[in-house]
Amino acid sequence: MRWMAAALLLAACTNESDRDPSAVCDNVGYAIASRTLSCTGDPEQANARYERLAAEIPCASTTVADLSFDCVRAVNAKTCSEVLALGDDLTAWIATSSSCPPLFAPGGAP
Amino acid sequence: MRRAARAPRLAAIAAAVALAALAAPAAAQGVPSVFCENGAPVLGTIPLQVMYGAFDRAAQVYGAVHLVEDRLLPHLRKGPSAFAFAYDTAGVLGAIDVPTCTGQSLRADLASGGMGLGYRWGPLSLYYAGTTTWLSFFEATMPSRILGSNGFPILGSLASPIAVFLPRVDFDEFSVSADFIVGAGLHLPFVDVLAGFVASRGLYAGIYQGQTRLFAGGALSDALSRLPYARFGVGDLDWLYGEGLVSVIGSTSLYAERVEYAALPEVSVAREDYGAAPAVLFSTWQAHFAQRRIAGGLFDVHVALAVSPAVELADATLSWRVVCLDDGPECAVPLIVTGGVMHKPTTWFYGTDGGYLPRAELQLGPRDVAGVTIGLNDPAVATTFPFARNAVFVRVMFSVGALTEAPTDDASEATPSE
Repeated sequence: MRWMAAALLLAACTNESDRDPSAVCDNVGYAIASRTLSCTGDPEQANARYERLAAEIPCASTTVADLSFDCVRAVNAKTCSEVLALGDDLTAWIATSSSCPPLFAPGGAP
Repeated sequence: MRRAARAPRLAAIAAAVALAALAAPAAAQGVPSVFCENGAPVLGTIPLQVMYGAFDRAAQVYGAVHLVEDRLLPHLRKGPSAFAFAYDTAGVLGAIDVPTCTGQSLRADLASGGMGLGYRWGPLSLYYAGTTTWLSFFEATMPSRILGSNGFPILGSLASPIAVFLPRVDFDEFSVSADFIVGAGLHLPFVDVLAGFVASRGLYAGIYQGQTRLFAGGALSDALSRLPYARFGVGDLDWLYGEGLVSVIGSTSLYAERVEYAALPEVSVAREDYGAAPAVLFSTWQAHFAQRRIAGGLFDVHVALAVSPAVELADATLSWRVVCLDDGPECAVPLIVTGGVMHKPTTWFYGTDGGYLPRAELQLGPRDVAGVTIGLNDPAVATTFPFARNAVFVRVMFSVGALTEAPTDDASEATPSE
């Protein structure tokens, strides 16, 4: 019976699950690292920027709405001249799009 | 869930893909629609872009070349008149976790593989291998996903010659890329030389020395400007040890391998232009040591050391043949358990962390012949699709080949390379 129950559980298991609201902040960090790598070619610097964002700027997102990914798209659309100008200033990265600060401000959400 | 109701139609859709691709290539090449109401992936996220980049640019070469090197050529080297047929598919369940427009996360499945065949007439052989790679965002149950991820590539490989004209097809809930390699081999008494054309704009060349088991092979891509894959070394040192020692310590393989992973985390590039756009490259060189058939075939050991971009242990496994499920002296149906670790580089720019990951495999059937393998963390998959860490994979493979005429001299060479 246990095997049958396990088989039924496996059969019912799908590949969709509820998303953690903090996933959008992670994706902003991925975008910063990605643009850094694309424009500098330095994987260590790219990784370091993601890790600093995760460690130093708390995520305040409470939403799983699609609109929250506007910040990800905005960061990912930065040109290389913008990326080089923003450098290691993560606060400046977040401030460059109106869709970003609510994700990282205390209690904020778009 | 509107999408859940579509799952039972997977097989029918898969069967229709080849026909649809042939019948309506112009419509199929369009950019995927933004279908948030259907719970589709949010476009513009890094994991999705990297998956598309790898999907378009990297996966094809390895699949087609692997089929030729590891599945067809060992049979074609057997003698002056031989044939070979093989299929090899791998489904990676939950290869990527992408946010969807309905506020959920969807773990998309990756399926790759295909079929190949070859024939040898005297010193000349011809071979062909067709592969497809599938990225599926269907919401489906686990059995459907396992069945689909190993069935789609076989169906798709039948239509792989269209890869010259239509390398990728996008539908709302899945994408398919097709590729093939076609080539010829020259089998001389002391050396086998191979050359091939890979439809994804690459050239393949390989050489194998039967007595020493020395081999080298590589693929050139993007107008010969990239070397996405290269491997060279010695495939089997049993000739050095002698039969008595080999039955105790097994046989040694030593080789170096380069794999270049091309991603494209550029939101400004339209999906249909990915293939032509400059890519961010991430390449690695590794040194491999493998000791096979230790203690009469009970154990295998494999260690890989990354030497570039950083020196570190990349992969280490121990395989144990737990039991033979048949009564024959050759152990035709072994059950093999593999455990170990693999190292994945930290790549936050691709949306993934790094570190050492556990490896586990349960394999039914002999290596390189036929079998089903269920496993966790395949280094080959993790190299090409670095976000597919801690993803379960199911691999089904079958390889058959034989002499069509009895050899008239001792020119045959049966030992497969690594």
